[in-house]
Amino acid sequence: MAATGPERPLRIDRADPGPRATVTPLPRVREDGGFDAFYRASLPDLVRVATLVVGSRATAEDLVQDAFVRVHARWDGIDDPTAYTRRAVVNACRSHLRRRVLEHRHRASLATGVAELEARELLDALAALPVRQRAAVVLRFYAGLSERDTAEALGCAPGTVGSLVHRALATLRQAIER
Amino acid sequence: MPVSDDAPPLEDRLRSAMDAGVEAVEATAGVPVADPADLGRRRVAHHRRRVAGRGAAAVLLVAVGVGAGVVLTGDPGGDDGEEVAAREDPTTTAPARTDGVVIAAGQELPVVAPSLDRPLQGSGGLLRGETDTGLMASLPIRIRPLDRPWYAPPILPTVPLFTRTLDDGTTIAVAGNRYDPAIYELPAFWEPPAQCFPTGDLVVSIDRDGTRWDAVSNRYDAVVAGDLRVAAAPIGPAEDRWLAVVQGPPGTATIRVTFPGGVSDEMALADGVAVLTAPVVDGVEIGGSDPIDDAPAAELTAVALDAEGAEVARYVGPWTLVDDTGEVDVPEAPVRRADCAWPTTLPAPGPEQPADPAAAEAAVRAVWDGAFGRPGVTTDAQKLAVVDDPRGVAEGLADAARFRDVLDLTDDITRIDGVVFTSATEAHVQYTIDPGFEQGRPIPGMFGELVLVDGEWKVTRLTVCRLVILGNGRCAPLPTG
Repeated sequence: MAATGPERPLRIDRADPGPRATVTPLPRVREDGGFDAFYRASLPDLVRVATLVVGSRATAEDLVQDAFVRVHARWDGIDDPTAYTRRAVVNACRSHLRRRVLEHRHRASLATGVAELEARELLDALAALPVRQRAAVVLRFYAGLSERDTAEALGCAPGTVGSLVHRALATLRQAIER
Repeated sequence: MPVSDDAPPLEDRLRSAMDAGVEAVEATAGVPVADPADLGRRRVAHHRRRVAGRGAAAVLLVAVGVGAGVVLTGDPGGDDGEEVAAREDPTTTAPARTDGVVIAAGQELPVVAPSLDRPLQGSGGLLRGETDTGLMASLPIRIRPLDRPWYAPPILPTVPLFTRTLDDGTTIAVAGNRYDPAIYELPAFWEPPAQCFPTGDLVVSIDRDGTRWDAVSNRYDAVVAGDLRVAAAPIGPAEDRWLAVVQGPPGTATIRVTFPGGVSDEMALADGVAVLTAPVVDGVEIGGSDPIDDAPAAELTAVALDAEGAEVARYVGPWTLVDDTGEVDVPEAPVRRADCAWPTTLPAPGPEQPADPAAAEAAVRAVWDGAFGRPGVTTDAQKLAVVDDPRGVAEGLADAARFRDVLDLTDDITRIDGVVFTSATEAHVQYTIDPGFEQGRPIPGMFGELVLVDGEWKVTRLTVCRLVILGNGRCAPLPTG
């Protein structure tokens, strides 16, 4: 098994950023609205998260829809559809970005329409991060997930999230201060 | 950019940047649609947009019934207008078989260009001998249920290869196509070994109990000796049946797959492909099919047998897609083929060189830099003027400018790193793309070709159209005939 990295994971003790205004917190438990209601409620936010991770809105829509297909197949056996689907989407994004050439070709598209220079630089630097670091940053600071929920979505230990975020922030800081 | 001490914390600035990025996307693309039916339509439109630009090859299929089979004819050229010669088209015309397989005859595979994202999406399956070419080599298998009104399958032009009917009435229809090789941006001087790159799609449609599922996998023109291409995943509303799509090496007559739990299936190759299926045994942990489960998956065994029943290749391993990023735990590292490695240098100079090589190189560089080295300065008309055959290229440049998704031909600089003449009239250039944004990582190792036409160096149409493809656009197809 591959280790998560040669360095010892760093834990970052930081207050939870809290939910973002653009992301509606979803219930952690099933409601009786059924799959379609869950789909309607959660799709926009998941597409936004996936867009930030893969850098392409059209691709994000495809990936999220594919994830929903798989979630639907297991719907009756899922206790926490939100966490389950979020992880399915993150996995789909990571699968999509496995090819490095395509990964870096897909960078920068989000920054195109952003007016502020620093925001563009940050989005470009975000797009250049390794996939797991990028996903960790998006889930933590855009989706406003806790370390625990981020870890659940990434399929890793909470301490690993701290390490991923720490390394990502260091890279981002270096990028914008260069 | 220097940051003042009183600037907000990086986390806050990052949040603002991500909000701005999402807002910018939604300003042009709209808010993600949460209505299932609307999303389905959007998905169809998205795929149509990508496919339509690839020209008539995608849609100009004329079906003419001939005997028991079907003849389909279409645009034989790629949508970049380049003649695309299939190395070994699966056009088997086999005698009647007794194993429930009916082989379509006389078909010609439509040429398609896979979109940049489509071949990358995989939800499960496995690849043996997967390559690390840095290209789109990895679509093990995707399962497409068609029983949801909000789900719109991708539009893939294909022709039927064969149909297998099982004893329980299940029919498995296999169709295929072939990729426009231009999508891989292979240098003109490099012929990669077979199996380095998928050469088409295999679309497997399973009809069972009134429900249809589609699985999409890669097709290879050839499989190297001793190796197997295996894609497998559970299918069905309850994932209660395995499906494996297998291609064998030369000499393979039959494929046998033993799925987790010991159930097995066997099929003689048809058009170089075997589709195997068996029920998922109750109580057997299949693993891996769970989209949130990274745990090692159940193993299956695939064996290629020759006409005498002797084994010519074997795969034993998990059916899940392995991850080659090194970022996650994986049950097994992918096997990599060194001979699939992308060329990093230009070819050796040819025996015939221009009369004045230095002047010729200067001319080549001037042509290239004039067209692609001055972003924001050179107009599309000026770019077209240096293309040897500009038909359809204007549409491609406009297409790429519309998407601005990957490569921005108005902002990104292409810089020549080297020039080699393989003849007095053919030049190969190696170049780097410098993305036109801050912090952008250059993309080195690109290759292009120029030819001498009436005493002037011209960039080949294929070279420009590859750049257009990088920009997520497509050159218009050349007229056929």
